[in-house]
Amino acid sequence: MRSFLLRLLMFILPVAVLYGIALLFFIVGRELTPIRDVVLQQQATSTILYRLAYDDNTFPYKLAATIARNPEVIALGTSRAMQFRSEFFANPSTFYNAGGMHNAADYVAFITSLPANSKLKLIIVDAELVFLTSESTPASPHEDVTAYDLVRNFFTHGWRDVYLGYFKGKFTFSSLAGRARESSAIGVAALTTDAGFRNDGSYRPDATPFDVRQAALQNQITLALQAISSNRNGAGSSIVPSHVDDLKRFLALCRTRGIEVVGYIPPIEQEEHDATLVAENSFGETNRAAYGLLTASFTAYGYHLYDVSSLETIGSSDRELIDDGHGSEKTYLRILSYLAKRDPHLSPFVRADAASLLLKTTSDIKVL
Amino acid sequence: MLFNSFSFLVFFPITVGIYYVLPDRYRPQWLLVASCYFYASFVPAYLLILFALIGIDYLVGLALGSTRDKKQRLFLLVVSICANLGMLFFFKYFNFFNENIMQLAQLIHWNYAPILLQIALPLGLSFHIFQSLSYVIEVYKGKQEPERNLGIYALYVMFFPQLVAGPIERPQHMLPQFHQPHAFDALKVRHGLELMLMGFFKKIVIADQLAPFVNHLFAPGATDNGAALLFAAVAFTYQLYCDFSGYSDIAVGIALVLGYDLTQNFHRPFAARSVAEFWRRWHISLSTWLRDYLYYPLTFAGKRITKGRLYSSLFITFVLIGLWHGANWTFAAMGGLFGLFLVLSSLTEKSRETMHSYLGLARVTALHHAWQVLYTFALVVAAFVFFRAESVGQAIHILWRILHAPFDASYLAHHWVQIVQVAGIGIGLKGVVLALVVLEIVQYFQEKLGRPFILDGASRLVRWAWYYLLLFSVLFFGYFGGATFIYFKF
Repeated sequence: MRSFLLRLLMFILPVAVLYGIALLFFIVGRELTPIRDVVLQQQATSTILYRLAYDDNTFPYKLAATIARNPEVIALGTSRAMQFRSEFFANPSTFYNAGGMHNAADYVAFITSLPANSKLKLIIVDAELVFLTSESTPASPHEDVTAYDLVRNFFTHGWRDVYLGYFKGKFTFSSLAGRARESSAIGVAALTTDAGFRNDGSYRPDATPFDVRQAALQNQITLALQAISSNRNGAGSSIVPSHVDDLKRFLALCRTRGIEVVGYIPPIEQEEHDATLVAENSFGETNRAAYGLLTASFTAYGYHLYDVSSLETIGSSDRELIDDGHGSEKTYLRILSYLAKRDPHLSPFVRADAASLLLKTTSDIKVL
Repeated sequence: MLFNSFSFLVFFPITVGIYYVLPDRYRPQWLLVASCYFYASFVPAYLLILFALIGIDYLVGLALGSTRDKKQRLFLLVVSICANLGMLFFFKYFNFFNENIMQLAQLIHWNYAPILLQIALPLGLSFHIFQSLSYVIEVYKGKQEPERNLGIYALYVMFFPQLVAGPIERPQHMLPQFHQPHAFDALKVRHGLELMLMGFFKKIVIADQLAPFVNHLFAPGATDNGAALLFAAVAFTYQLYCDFSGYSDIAVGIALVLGYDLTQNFHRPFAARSVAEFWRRWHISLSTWLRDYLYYPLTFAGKRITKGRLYSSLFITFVLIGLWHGANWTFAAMGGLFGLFLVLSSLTEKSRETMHSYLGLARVTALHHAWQVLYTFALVVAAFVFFRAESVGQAIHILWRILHAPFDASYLAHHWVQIVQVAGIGIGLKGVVLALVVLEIVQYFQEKLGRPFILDGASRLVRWAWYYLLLFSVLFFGYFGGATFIYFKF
């Protein structure tokens, strides 16, 4: 038995080396930091970025941070809500950005998980048309990531993704180690791209130059217009009743807990927006039906839904987009100003000079 | 706990390590504890169902051993069959039965309100019930002594490698093994690990990579293109094979590492030259179970074996094979179709032979065999469309479109990028095809050499190179914690 075990160990040795090297990347990149520690560190300082490269733990991270900070106002939504920053608000400590959910079922799970004594008074909610359709993204993992999960994820796929990243030239060991020495950011993605969740939950995008961003945008617009005109390449879409129920459950839950909700349909690139409006196929029809259902659902629960899906509505343009589906912080400051002017529940929380902040910036996307 | 999960990666070496450290007499107990833990990791409450079945069949076995009275023995057998099949009916077929009654009631305008149970089917119920029944029937027939050690009998039903998806074992094969000591045998352990690697390769590198393509193309309304649907049907046939035979290889491999021999469940089924031969090579433990305990009794029950009895027995057996897979008319249709193929094959045997000799096919054996393999494969693919389809209507529609729609292979090329995007996988079709070619070559040599371990005589360098190829394919392409095995739901 001993000689067999010895041979087995020899056989496994190359695999162990392969895993060992990847583990080094994980450790240096602080990829294995438990969420609890991330939240504590972010609460203690004001500049730590957090973004893992090899796991999607946004839901438990945002939930833990929301519970720890106990804010009065949150932004809840997909990646199209992550641009609201605490500096946009009169008292920054009252706001936290809980963006990063996948669908309305995530919203329900998020609100349900908040403690009963939460101070939460108002939610700025990203109301996506796609939430109600067959194109909706599946719910994100809700469970807290335990140490066991971290180890499991590393052994099952994380180690492999490290090599993929390495061979795609995303980083080298020395570059990662160098960044880790200079920065207190947590996670390989945060360290290598300088992008990630800030302490207030908002997302800092990477610093892609304006012309590169605009060139990519043109390419995205071409592909998106093709997809819209070809009915999403023939796949089309349809309204899914259970998804509509999820949205209604979320609104009902907020009503029961006495939380005000201010909904907005987030902006997309203007040409794509206009093409979707007039698309004569099932994709276009579903979007129009989803719009009606969204509006009706918000109204039924006594909440307001604001349509800012057209950039023109808020005085923005393609120049302020990060990509065809994501506005920049500047876009979102415009959205917030737009909403605050119209919504009496929101306006007391937003800083009075929010609109003038726009004039202070020279950047196309950054406000502060 | 799935075999392709991280939990199993932790569970397996611990279980095997402790097993070989323990003295012989404690090993079955340890295996029983490990099996309970393994099964409880899915849904702990399901253990109670298993314990109940084990208790009933153990007592029935003892009672059968203590009486020679024919009536009493028959009564005991009926009690066991009713308990086992009753449990199976309750968990697996109750809702299906009620839904069909409701539909019948609607036809005759009868206001029937069905009671639908909100319960999940205990994992692998069909497998361990068949294994339990096998024990009771063999004891009833006097071909197996009743097992007096409750722990050993429980292990016979619960042995974790084959607990949730077989192979369905016979008591004569397994019970003596649980009584024998199993010294560490390096060759057996190596063979077991090799089989496990091969099983993971089939499951993770082939089946799981094909699954997104199949799911995308089989989604209702996804496509009406004949080429795409034919591709989906063939891909599903291979997915099903690699998924289930992959599971079986892992199960047999785990048992071998522990020193136990399990039945090989598959034997290169797509090399079959007739549907009958296919079923001698596919899910062997189920087909032989139904042959011995259903088909033979049905066929030989009367004094005279007529063709009508033979064919109806065959047909009924295959419909039940279909229904064993699940409470849905799609499975019954699949079984019925296989039954029909077998009956027609038997009815047309002479005329086909005449035609073959007229065409001179006997002189070109290789071509003749290739043709037989091809048409058998086509029939199997057609029947498995019912296995995968959401409804009988969808299956018929798919087959109709494959046969009648304009065969536009450019559709796949055109939509390939989109399918890959939706599927979100990295290995791609070329990778899967390459893996299938490797698999077919390995299986060809396995059949030719008559043993599953084709590199047994080769140097260590060659063997290790092969093991590393399998291991790294699995590690690079595998996601341990994702896709369940298709047959787990049965």
